[in-house]
Amino acid sequence: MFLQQLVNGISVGGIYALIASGYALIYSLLGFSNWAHGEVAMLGAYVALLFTASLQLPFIAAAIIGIGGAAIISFLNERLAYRRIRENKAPTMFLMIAAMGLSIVFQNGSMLLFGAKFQKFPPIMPVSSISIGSVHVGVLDLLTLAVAAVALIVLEIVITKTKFGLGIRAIASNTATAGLLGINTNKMFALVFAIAGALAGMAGVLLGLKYNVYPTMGNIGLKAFIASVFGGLGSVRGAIVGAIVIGVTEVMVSGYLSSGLRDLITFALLIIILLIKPSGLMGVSVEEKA
Amino acid sequence: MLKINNLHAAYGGIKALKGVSLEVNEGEVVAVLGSNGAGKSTLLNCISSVVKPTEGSIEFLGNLVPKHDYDVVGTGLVHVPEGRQIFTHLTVRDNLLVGAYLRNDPKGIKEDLDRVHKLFPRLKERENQYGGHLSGGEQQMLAISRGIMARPKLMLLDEPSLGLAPIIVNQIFEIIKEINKAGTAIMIVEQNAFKALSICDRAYILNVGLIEKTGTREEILCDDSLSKAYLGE
Repeated sequence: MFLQQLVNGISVGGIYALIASGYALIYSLLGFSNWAHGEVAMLGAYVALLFTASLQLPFIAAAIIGIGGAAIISFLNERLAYRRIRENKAPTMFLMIAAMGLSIVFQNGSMLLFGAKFQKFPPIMPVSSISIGSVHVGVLDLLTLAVAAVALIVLEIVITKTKFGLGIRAIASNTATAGLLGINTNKMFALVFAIAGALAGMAGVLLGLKYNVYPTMGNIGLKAFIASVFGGLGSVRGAIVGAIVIGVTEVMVSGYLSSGLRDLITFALLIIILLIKPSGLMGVSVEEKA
Repeated sequence: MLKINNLHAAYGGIKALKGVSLEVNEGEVVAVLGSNGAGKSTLLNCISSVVKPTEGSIEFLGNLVPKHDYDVVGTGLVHVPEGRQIFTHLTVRDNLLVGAYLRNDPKGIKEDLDRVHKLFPRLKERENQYGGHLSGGEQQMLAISRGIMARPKLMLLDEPSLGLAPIIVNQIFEIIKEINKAGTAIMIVEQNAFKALSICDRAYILNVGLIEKTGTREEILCDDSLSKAYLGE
């Protein structure tokens, strides 16, 4: 029972981590909370659903289209909404408000387009769980875990080991100087939004598979937000750790205590962490010397 | 190599430059001197396309400087900004590698890393520390070294002495001389006029957006317009 819950918890955490890492990436570059990020996940799920349920494409192909769609939507958000605000040198608060607006538009738009009802992906697994000894583990949970782990490891390698990643880290540290040294910041912002969108799309499809697809499923973005505050705003690694802690905690609380207490405990955990370490679990705090 | 003609620039409604013309030739060290608010930093920001001039032209090696700041460094012109502006969350090594961001010659980059480490052994010792953990002087060394990593033909230096102890300032100016000897032209903007005059070939005195005086080092040292620019009439 416990092991089963643990796998379930880590896989939920993996989904949170996919959203939270993109969220943290965007925060680290632009210093604002992209409230529309959860809706990007939702739209990715709908695109995939559309292609597999209505157009009868094989699931894998539909999932890839959904992920690509989410990347494009995220890219367009930056291109059409956020870039204008940045170029007008408006306060970052404006970016956050624009993001909230986008989130509302996306939620209500998909309500109009797809209806408010819960929709399901056609089943993709021949069996729903496998047994190892006396432990039953959901196949979908294992799949989620594997996909999230691979995606996040690749992301981590890209950020820490490649030249592209060096550029991202330089912009996050000092945007103006990164530009002076030849980094095309606009191009990098666009790419980062696309990558964050793809990760969110992945999360949306996995979430849709695990539960349902519906217009307000993007509210999971709030959980990802908490995860990334928990881990330290702007730190991708922190966001991943935070997401897994929160995923496991939620599943354990629902399983052993009561699902009504789930969110209460999550927020209590957040408050405790912020009281003890305000910069979050792995928040970057390099103080600047004169 | 650098030709600035009748440059005007403004922040909001305030005119910071009101028709500046100047030149930097191959191999030279040129100082632009002037008190706070004379327009020195604005001048450098125009050259590196951070600020768009309202009038006038800037040519580097016969071409107008590119429109976007991120295209400027590729032409061989690097700007080491005021206040050092190092990447505090990146290691010293990564800071240097960002300086070489547009280069695709791993061998040359390695050579320049070695060169920088020879100029500033402290940076080698502190290679894996965060930029933000360096002292002010080390940060200035890092900012200059990061500029070297771009392998520039012309280096713009904005107030390299700012906020540093005299002994560190001397050290940094020695290095600037060495960088110049190795073939990079230098345009240095300084409030610390006498320090800058100790290494430059020629100087311009900038006063509220206008070039007030220009000449060789000796001419400027003998002229009273320098003290006027700093102390008023």
